[in-house]
Parts: sequence; C-alpha cells; structure tokens
Amino acid sequence: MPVPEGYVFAMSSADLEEGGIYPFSVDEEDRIVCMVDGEVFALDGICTHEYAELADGEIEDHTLWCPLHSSGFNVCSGKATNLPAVIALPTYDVRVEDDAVYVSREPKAQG
Amino acid sequence: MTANRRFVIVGAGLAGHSAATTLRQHGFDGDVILIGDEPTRPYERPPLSKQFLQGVRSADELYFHTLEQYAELGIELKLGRRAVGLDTARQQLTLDTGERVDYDKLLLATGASPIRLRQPGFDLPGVHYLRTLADASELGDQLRGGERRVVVIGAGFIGSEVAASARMLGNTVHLVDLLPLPMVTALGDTLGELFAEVHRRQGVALHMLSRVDELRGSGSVEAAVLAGGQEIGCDLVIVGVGVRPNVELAREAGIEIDNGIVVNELGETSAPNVYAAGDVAHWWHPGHGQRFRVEHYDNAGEHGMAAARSMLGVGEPYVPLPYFWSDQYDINLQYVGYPEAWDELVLRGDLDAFAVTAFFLREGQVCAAATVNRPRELRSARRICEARAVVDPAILADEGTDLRALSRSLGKK
Repeated sequence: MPVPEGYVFAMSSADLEEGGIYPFSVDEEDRIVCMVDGEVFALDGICTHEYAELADGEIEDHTLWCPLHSSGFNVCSGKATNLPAVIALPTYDVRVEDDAVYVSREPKAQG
Repeated sequence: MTANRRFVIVGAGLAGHSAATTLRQHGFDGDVILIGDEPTRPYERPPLSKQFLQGVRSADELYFHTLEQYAELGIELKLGRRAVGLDTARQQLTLDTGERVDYDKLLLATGASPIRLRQPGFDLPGVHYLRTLADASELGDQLRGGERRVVVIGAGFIGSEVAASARMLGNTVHLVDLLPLPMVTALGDTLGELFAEVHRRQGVALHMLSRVDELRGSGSVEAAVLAGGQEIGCDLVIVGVGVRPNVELAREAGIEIDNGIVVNELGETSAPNVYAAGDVAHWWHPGHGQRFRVEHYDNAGEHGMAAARSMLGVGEPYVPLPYFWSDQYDINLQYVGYPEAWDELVLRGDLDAFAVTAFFLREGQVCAAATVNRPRELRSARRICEARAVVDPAILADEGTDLRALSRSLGKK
C-alpha cells in the first residue's frame, strides 16, 4: 500500500506496546511514536527545554516525562504540563493502516 | 464570589510565579499582584550556573511567561520594587517606593540570598556571587573569553556547576571547599568521589579540606591565600558557599522565624492570612514529623502551587518527593528523595564509567536515589522512593533486573 500523501512511515504497528516510546526520524529530525491506552500519538522527539531525547523518557498515565530534567508533556496535546519546559511539544497526525503507523510530515496546529 | 479580593505575592521567583498562575488556573478572579525586587519578570534560575553561563542559552529563553501572558492572566507585576514593611494587623505592605499595598491574603516567596564572605580582600573587584540573572550576565562576560584564572570557593551544587562551566569555557579553575569532596553533604562519599574524579579529569585543581583565608590584589583580585599559606594566582573569585533565607520582612512583622519562615503543612505562617513558600519556607512535613527547608527549583514550583491552593481554601498537606538535577560537563545527575540519614548505599551500573544509579536505604527502605548519566532509570527510581520500598539490595544492583517492571509493581503511582 502506498504511504498516504503528506505522511511518512514510522514503524510497524505490530511492534507497538502499551506505554512504549519509539523514535524515528523525518528528514533528520527526531520524532517519537507512543501508545497510551491503545491510542497512538506522534510528537517531536527532542525536549523543548534543553536538548534531551524523549525516547529515553517514560510515560505515566498521559504524561511523557523528559529523562534529563523531568519536564512533563501531555501526549495528546503536546502541552507542557510540568516545568522546567514551558513550550509545548509539536504533535503530528497519526494514521494506523495496513499494519503500519504513518505520521504526518507537518505538525498539527497547536490547540 | 472572589471578586474584589486581593492576593499579593512578594517574590517573583519560581515559587511566586507558580503561585500566581495557580491562583488563576483555579479560577480566582480577584486581584493578583506579584512583587519582585529584580527588574526582570520571573525566570528559570538553574541555567544561570550552566547553559546561560556557557552562552548556550540566552536570557530570552529563561522566562516562564511573556509580559503579554501575565497581562492576559490578569497578574499585575510590580518589578524592581522591594517590600520593606509588613503590617499583619492592617494587612498592608509598604514598598520601597513608599507605595502601600493592601492584601486579603499574602504569600511570602522571598527566596534566599548568597552568604557573603567577609574575610580580608573579599570586597575587591573580581569577586562574584551568583544568584540572579544580573549576577550571571556579569560573570558570563568575564568567563566566556576563556583563559582567565578562576578560584571557585564552595564545591556544593552552585560551585561545582560554575567550576564546570568555567572550565568548559577554557578557563583555569581551582575549586576550594572545607569539606573533603564536592557536593558531599547531599550525595555522600561515593558519589562525591565520583564527581571529584570528574572535575580532576576535566583539569580542575581541587583543594578539598581547604579554605581561603584572604584575597589579595591591588585594584582587583590577584590571588587567593589558602589557610596553609598556599597562594593561588587568579583573576576572578566566585563564591558559592550557600544561601540564607530572606526572612527580614517577616521577622520585622513578628512572624515566627526558625531557619526560614516557619509554616505548617498548608504553608500558613504564624500570622493570619500570611503564607510562605519556596526557598524561604521551613515547612512541617506531617509524615516525617519534622520540618524541611529545600532550596531546589522543583520545590519552589511545587510549594508555590500548594500555597496558592491553600490561599484558595482548597489546600492539602504539602508532602512532595523532593527532586533536583545538576548538569556538569557531560554528566547528568538527578536526585529524588529527602535528605535523610541513610545506612546503606546500593550501586547499580559502573561507577568508574560515571554511569551509575545509587539507591540510599534506611533500615532496608529505599528513601532516596540518584542517577548519574542513567536518566532512563529516574522514573523507576522515583517510584521506588515514593513507595519507600523494601527491595533486596542484590536485586536493585543487578543490571538484569527490569527496574521499570519492578517499580511499577509496587502499586499505584
């Protein structure tokens, strides 16, 4: 099946596990896919506070925790919910089709 | 319902900022006034000794909010003003401009100030302290050219971070402390020795169990004289020997003071309708049955939020799990837990490779943990500390143990 227009292939959906965080890149930019309560989300892979790879972080409930300084982000909205980050993490549209996770190239508008 | 009520916050650091924004998040629609003696709106202090000093982050990147955001939230900022008088009977503050500000509820989030050294020569130009953005801007200008000879007095967190930043910028650095190892009070001997080795390998000259008796120089500082007589030639001296809570306003108002402003678990001081939070507050922890005063970033934010909820009548006892981090060179340190007396240290990882997680146990319970370049284990370590779990030290130390699974099995977060 072709990749939907404006989307990139991120990973096989068979590899998704609850609470898992999966790094991938788009044009050398780091992104992550994660699954919470069976729902799949895609966000920028680098913390908005200081350089840290969020794939090394952890998800509790709907909060994605940065591994270096414990900034918290809501996985659905990208909103910074815990300092020290104050800037939201860009989020991307996700389509799960034909055993694949596709992620939009462009971020969603910040809500 | 709350209209026409006025909540005033003295201190525009993180605790004050967090309190002000929390009041609005909870729908408080009275006046919120935030008074700060620095000319700047609230900003993030931790980078001042690290990324800001190194020139990696600019001042613009440190502010929590824009001025427009404060305006949208209806938070009135009175910056560059100092509260010099507090009348708790009339519920009124006096500012250094002579202006009087009435309050219905008041939060004192006045923070702390660096301890100044008074030995001979410490009034010479070239002696720096680091607390504010202005301090850090001035110091950064001196350090960023590199090739300066720097003596850092105090190997606690600020001193160690400043030593690292100064070294990273290509300066010659001497680090002096009365204690045997850097950050030893907080981290203990094993991690203190790890950081001593990190600094030595980076070329910092360590002078532990030493003190500077005198600074010499004509016009500006030229040498630091150690207690044994050794003289260290230098262009700059940076003092980081701890802070004192800013209690003067509260003390003169007759509010109870004991190692900070004394507050209960709801952040209430001894005066009606007056609260305190952050570095300045010595708060009662009902679970531990003792008071704590914590000087870290995370506590300032959390305590400010907790105090704001108390001011709104929806407060709950403040019983956080303290957390802080430090970044020095390429080493990331994170620590969770209370500064308790521990009796057993369990190491997981490779101490010699500077990649290790340390668990601090007290009577078998994990009461605190530190990750050194093992950030992936922080959340797990945190859950274990939160549960005060009793875990077989051999299991904690075993790299084969899935720490996430173990920590998540300890019960609800």
